[in-house]
Amino acid sequence: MTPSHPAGPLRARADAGLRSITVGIAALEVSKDPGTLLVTYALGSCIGLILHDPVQRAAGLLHFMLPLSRTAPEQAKLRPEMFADTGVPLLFERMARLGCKMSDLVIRAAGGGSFLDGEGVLDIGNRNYTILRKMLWKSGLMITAEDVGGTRSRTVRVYPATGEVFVRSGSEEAPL
Amino acid sequence: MSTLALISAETIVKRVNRLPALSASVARLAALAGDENATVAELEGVVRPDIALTANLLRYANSAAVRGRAEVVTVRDAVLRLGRQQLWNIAASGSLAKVIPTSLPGYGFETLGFWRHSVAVAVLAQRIADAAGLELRVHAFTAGLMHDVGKLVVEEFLASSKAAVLARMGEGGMAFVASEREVLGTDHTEVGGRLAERWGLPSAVVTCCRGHHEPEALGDVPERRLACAVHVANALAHGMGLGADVGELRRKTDAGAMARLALDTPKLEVIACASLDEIERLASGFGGKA
Repeated sequence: MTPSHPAGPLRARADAGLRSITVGIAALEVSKDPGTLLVTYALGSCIGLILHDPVQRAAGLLHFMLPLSRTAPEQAKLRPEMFADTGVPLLFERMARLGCKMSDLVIRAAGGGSFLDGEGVLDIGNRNYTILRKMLWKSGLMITAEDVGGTRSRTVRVYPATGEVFVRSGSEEAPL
Repeated sequence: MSTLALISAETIVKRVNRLPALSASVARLAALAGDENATVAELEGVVRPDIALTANLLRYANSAAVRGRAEVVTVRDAVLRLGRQQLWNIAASGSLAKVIPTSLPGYGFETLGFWRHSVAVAVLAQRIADAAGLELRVHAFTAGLMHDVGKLVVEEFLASSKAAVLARMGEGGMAFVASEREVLGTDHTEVGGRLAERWGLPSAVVTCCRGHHEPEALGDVPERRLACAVHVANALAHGMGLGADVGELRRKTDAGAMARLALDTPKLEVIACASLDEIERLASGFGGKA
């Protein structure tokens, strides 16, 4: 689908000549082509999980929406990327197929935002983050850098060749 | 923040009147949509003179999502296949798609972003209303679709006051709609209600435009639960990343609205994943906006 929030004028680096691969909601993409960048738009309570392998110069980006596939097992079969518990293993698998070693992977995460109320009325963002942490911890993996929580919506850009990751919220963009 | 550009009531009326009207068939279908005794002939009579609606209807009746064995070639067959509810949804979608301007820079919305958000809230509100068994659920899709139409009017004022609105959100952690009201003297819910009224939309839809941020403030009116459904659908859509604008996640989700619909987060998660495909399909393939 065409992105609804194309890259604004603010760029931390020139993307000229790079082919942009859009990762939709409940989707994932991997790439070891230095001529590409991975982008996902408007992470609200969803989380973008970013893997980078500096040895293979490969990157992967998963945009998952909900924590657990038992919410909708049938949907999970059709779109495993929708859930943390089915999407995260898939992302690691796809990276492995690119020749990446688990121990080389740098893990980053962005998103998991919450609403202003603070009452936890609708706390999908929080649940997403908790499950992600739990899953990684069980596998002995650590998140190296993260930009999660708060009331911001985030757009994430990942550069497979360099491993750079930029998170944009509104008109502000920062490296992760 | 010394330059407050308050919008006067007259200015709003003027701008509301300047927006193009929805097609005439929409107001007529609005009445028939809630009427269980409406006949196929009556519905057909409203649709046939509206060429754009006829085309949309036939296209949808033959789309992969609903296609039956035989091709639908007449309005009558399309009405029979899709039913009163879907016909109403399609008429509202098609007419809204036509009046959305090409960009809404004030809200940081692309046209497609506004459209996608509107469709997302429509689909989610419909599912929430169905799950809660709301009496007014025939209007849930349209109420969700139209909830933000006030933004089409407030937009041009916001473009010059955006910095002031954003500053208030940043400083005091104020919700977006409250900042809007403080800086502009009105907000997109009030203006949206007026616009929906002028467009001849049913009072349930008008009320949802007005009350979708604070449904509890509507008091004990028959439309309150429908407004609650739109309120929750709106929050869910923003959470799902379907409608990030300058307001982002700076909105309050009303615990009362959730309780009134007997909803909790796990139930909404089920609704969210069941809706994503439909939202993406309607947003990309319908209404000529994608």
